[in-house]
Amino acid sequence: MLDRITPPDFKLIGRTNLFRPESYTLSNSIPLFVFNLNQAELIKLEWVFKIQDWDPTYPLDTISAAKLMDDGTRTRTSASIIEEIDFYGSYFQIHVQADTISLELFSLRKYLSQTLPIIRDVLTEANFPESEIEVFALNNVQRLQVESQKVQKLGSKLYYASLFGNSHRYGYAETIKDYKALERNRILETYQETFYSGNCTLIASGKISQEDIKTLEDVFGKEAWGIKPNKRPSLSKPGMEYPKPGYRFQEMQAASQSAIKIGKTLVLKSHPDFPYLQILNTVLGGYFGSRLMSNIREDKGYTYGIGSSVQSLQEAGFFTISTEVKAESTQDTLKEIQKEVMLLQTELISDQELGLVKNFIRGSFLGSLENAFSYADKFKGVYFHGLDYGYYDRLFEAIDGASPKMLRELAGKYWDWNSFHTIIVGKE
Amino acid sequence: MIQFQKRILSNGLRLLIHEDHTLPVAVLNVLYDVGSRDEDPERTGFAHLFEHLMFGGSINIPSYDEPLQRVGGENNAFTSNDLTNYYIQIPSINLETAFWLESDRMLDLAFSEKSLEVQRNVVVEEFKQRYLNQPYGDAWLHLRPLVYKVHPYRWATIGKDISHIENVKMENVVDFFHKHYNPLNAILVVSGDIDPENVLELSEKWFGSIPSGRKYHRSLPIEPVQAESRKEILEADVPLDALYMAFPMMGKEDPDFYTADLLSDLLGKGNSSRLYQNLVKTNPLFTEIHSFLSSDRDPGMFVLEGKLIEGIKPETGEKAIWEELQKLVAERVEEKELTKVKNKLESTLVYGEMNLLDKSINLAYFELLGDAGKINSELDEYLKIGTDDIQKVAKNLFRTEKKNVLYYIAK
Repeated sequence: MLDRITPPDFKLIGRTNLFRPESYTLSNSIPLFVFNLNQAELIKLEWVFKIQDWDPTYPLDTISAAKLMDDGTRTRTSASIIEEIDFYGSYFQIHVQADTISLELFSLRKYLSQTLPIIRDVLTEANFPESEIEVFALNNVQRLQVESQKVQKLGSKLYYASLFGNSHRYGYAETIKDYKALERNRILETYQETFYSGNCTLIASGKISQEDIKTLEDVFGKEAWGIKPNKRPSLSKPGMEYPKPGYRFQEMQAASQSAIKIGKTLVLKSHPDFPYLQILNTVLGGYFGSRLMSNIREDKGYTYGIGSSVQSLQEAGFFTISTEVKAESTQDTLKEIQKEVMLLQTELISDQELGLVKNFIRGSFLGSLENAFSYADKFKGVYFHGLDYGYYDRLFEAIDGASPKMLRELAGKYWDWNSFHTIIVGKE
Repeated sequence: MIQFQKRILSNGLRLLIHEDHTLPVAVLNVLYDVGSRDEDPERTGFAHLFEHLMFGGSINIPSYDEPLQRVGGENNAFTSNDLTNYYIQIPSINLETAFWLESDRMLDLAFSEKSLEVQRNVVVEEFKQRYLNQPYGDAWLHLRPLVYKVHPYRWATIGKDISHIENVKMENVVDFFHKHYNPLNAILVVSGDIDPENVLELSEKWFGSIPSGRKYHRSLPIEPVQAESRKEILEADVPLDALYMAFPMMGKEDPDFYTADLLSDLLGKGNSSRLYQNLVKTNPLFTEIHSFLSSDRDPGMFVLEGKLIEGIKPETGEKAIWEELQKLVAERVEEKELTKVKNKLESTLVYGEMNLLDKSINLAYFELLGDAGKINSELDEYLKIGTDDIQKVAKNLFRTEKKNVLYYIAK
């Protein structure tokens, strides 16, 4: 008779070795990192640029320059650019993140030499037609109008503004007025100051031959391109403020759910406590079986989901608890969240629970590696923070070494309830 | 090319095995041949609520998630009109834990009152989060009953009304389980860093002794052919007017389905598509516009949806879309435009083959349609479509009397 009650034996999950890139330097000094995994006939290229300057007086110049650069060059219209890229079955997207802008291209290998010149054109010859700026502004204005009715979106905006202040790009909340004030010459200037070879890092992943690398050198690496700005980039703004923690409530009469955001700024990824905070956070709200999910969803049924995260940008780290809950249960949810945070400061996590969390993190790290692209993501996760693969060594050391006592101390050190910002959008 | 083996266990459970040793990870996927189309019209949203209850403990195992997380596994599930799918991704060294958990909940559930009560609440919050507490979130709850008058696709997977979920009783849960959750109505896929012999043994060991149960034979009402166009005007507290248009179309197994898919791509997928270029860029009436298929097994919907620029009347937007559709009826598309959407599909399919979980779910889905092997001929099905096929399908789909329009108007 089969024993269905006793779980099958299981093994501890070992350390996953990360596939590391081959690194090259193109003739014009662009660093190129190659993850060649020889799987499908697909190649992913990412051109990553650091955000050079950000001016709160003209807060949308950077994002507009990035998002509009593929809407017309000296020789191609917006329509012909996307038509050509699509014709070769490629997917092209421009992502504006907090610290970097990346152009991302998925191309079938057989069409690489056709698609690359289009990207080169976009990177060096964009001319920002007024008509495209108008369409862009209008579409974004309407997007903002719709978002103004979403508790989750409003909550995020208020939260980041509370954490980082409206005069830092991490905290700035874009407005309709900003989109109406866009000017072509400023966008063009920002484009020139951001997209030049000296500010570019190239990452290639997928199936990549030496010939493909030569093609990259031919199209992007021969000579310096773009205009290097004269003024020094001022990445760290002296004005970066961390406003006082507090409680902010925005009412939405019609809301049947309230969005809740709770959190604070925290250490950077380079800080020795960071990997331990990842583990502590997983216990609180980092997986399906976490304490917040078990309590607020699986016991009380107040929400479809609740989670927490510990993240790091280049200039600041932060900790966030986030959920949307039944409007009538907003206060009760706050109370329960506070209770769970306090418990981690006062009580030891059981060995049983900590063991589970550690194994879950190991498994989920393994599960996050699907293909060459995921290895490239792991690389970006350290490289652009000024770190190296030693970070992952420290992460796994923390997983092996974290004890209930260390984590309780950590919760006490970083998670003082009075240091948290609390944002509610919906009903109080 | 996705290589796989197929076996049928003595209780009728279909098993597909696919090896991929890229990483020391395995996937165990179970698809049940039941979706929201199989619901009682008075208890809609049930199949999806039931999916939640599958995580509330099974006959021999009080907690589903905890032992899985302990061995480094992750899981999730989804419900659609046509099916319910459960998957586990797990370090391959601990694969047997996935067999243990997944087979026990196919055998029998714990049926706890507490779990039912909590999950009813959770699903009600999901209903609000996705459909009610979002601008335009309930558009589909209106569009479906406009297009379908008798077929169960007339309600959404989440359900017609929150009260249906609130009123579910334990006896409904037990009945539903016995009717739909058994080896005859399921497809098991095990893939990844596995040894096929070992998978066969484990499948026999854990699933082989589960009683077959009864095969569920559905007989759903057939939607009558639509004979005149329909329009609904809905006013709500939203910032801008939106427009939805839907045409009844063939089901997933119809040979013309792939043609309709390409038609929808060239019409309204991505920024080089006709609708985007003509109605957002060149002659701006909309700030966003898309077309897509509902991709159902029974006759589905060809959908177009867009948000109008402030000040543009919905009638103007509707007329402009209609003209774009009639262009496809009147003129053949150029070979180059068709090649473009085929090339895009090719890269999407190649990309999909790089993801173990996607491959596993797709294998199960093609097996549900009758033959998992067809996963490998999908690209050829698309590639053989000609510009005349596109025009023929456009002619059949975009007819005045088959038009369903929903105006979602800002109050």
